[in-house]
Amino acid sequence: MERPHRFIGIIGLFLLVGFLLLSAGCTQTEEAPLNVYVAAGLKKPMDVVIAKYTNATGITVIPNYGPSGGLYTQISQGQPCDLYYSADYNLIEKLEAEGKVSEAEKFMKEFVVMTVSKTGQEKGITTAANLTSENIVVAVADPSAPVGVYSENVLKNLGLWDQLNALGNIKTRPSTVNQVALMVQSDEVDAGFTYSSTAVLYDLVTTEKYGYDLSEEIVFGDAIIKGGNEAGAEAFRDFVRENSVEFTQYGWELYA
Amino acid sequence: MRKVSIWEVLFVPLFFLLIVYPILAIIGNVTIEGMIKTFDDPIFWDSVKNTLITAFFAALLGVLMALGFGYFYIFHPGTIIYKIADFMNDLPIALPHTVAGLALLLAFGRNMFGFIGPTGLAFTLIAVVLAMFFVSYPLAARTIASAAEEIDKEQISVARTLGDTPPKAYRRVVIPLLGEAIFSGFVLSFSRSISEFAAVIMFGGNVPGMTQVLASYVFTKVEEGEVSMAVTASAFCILLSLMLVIVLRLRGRLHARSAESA
Repeated sequence: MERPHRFIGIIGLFLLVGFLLLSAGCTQTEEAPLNVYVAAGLKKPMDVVIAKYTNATGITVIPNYGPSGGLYTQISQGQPCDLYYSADYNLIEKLEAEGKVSEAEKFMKEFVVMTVSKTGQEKGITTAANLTSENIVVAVADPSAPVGVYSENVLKNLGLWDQLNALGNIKTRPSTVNQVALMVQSDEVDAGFTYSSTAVLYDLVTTEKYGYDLSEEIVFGDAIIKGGNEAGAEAFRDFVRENSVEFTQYGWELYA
Repeated sequence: MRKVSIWEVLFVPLFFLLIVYPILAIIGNVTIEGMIKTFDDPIFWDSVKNTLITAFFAALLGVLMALGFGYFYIFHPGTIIYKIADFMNDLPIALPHTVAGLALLLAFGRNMFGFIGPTGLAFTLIAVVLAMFFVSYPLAARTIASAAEEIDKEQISVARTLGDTPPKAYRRVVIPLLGEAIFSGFVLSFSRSISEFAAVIMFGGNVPGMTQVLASYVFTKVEEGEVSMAVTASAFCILLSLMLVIVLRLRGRLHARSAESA
């Protein structure tokens, strides 16, 4: 009669201790890991830079990759973040207005491009106006990813947005730029709108690159979040800048 | 003084903290402003309509397939088909949802099913149904299989000796006895289908007004920073699921009462 109760009591104790340990782990300050929230499109070069940084300093960097809008919501709701790399500088300005940013800067310039898949090339798609033909399948990211907003701007400024929607040619609105690239790469769509860097990363054929008059200025920025490990964030951010060649090799230009 | 058992001490507070409290947090955060914005948005209502229709058909398909599985379980448990189906019944649950979505896209997209249309089966409402079916079928299968296990095999043998072929016996004896399980299997699949989004986004297309479902509507609103609308849509989802569970419970109680009075 006594033994089962003791056993269950021990399990309960373990659960309690487990909870306490999990929550306590986040308040240690010595060599604390750095929480960096990074826009999904920067994953490949950022992984390389993080590995370099950990090798050089021994500090663990924990990246959280996702759509910039989702990351903004997480930071805005108070999730622990030391440094935020956004694909949309507007989101950083939003955080600044909320008083959450200690130091922000513009990092790189990016452009929206139209990438065409194998079948899309066979169909002869070279310019955005070609997309309004029949049976063309287009992928445009969902507005939760900044590239989705920029792509919409381009198509609206070209006067094609309403037509494309009426025709129903925009068949899919994935939630990240990488998903759009994946669909073009696996030839599930004819054309997709991504960043020029994404096209390089995924080895896609780019047929058109759009200027800021069509897409609006696309600036990737970084922001050191107030109340986090600001010194650590600043050190990592400077390291990223020093190693910007990892990024520029994919076609990004530094915002000097 | 009655000695309090350890179950009562641990279960009650933990249950309220871990299950009830998060749900109350959503409902408690609903604002009038959020409700007005959301209910004014035709895309919201489109996603509700799409969700209800696709989840219904996904659950229907799931139950029909689960009944098929039940047939093999009762009459041909030794065959390869049954063994494979039994083994794979739980596989979709083990798969991460984006992987499931990608798998469906590569399998039914235009590279393999291009003869159907420019996108194959992908990016259509049918794709949404298939994605929902894929992730909710295991629930229906498990419900019906465990109910089939409980059936008195003698009733089936009697039907067989009286001349029924297996399909006839299945239709006339087993399925009526499975009535309760069919209903709860349907409700479980329906609920699971409503909450699926990763696979649906990948394979279904997530185009607002056409293939966007309620779960991805909420997701998009969160990612856009429109938290008040996301909360309203989530609360709507919760109320929907709550109503389903209540219906299930009432049915269960009615059934039990009629069984008692019989």
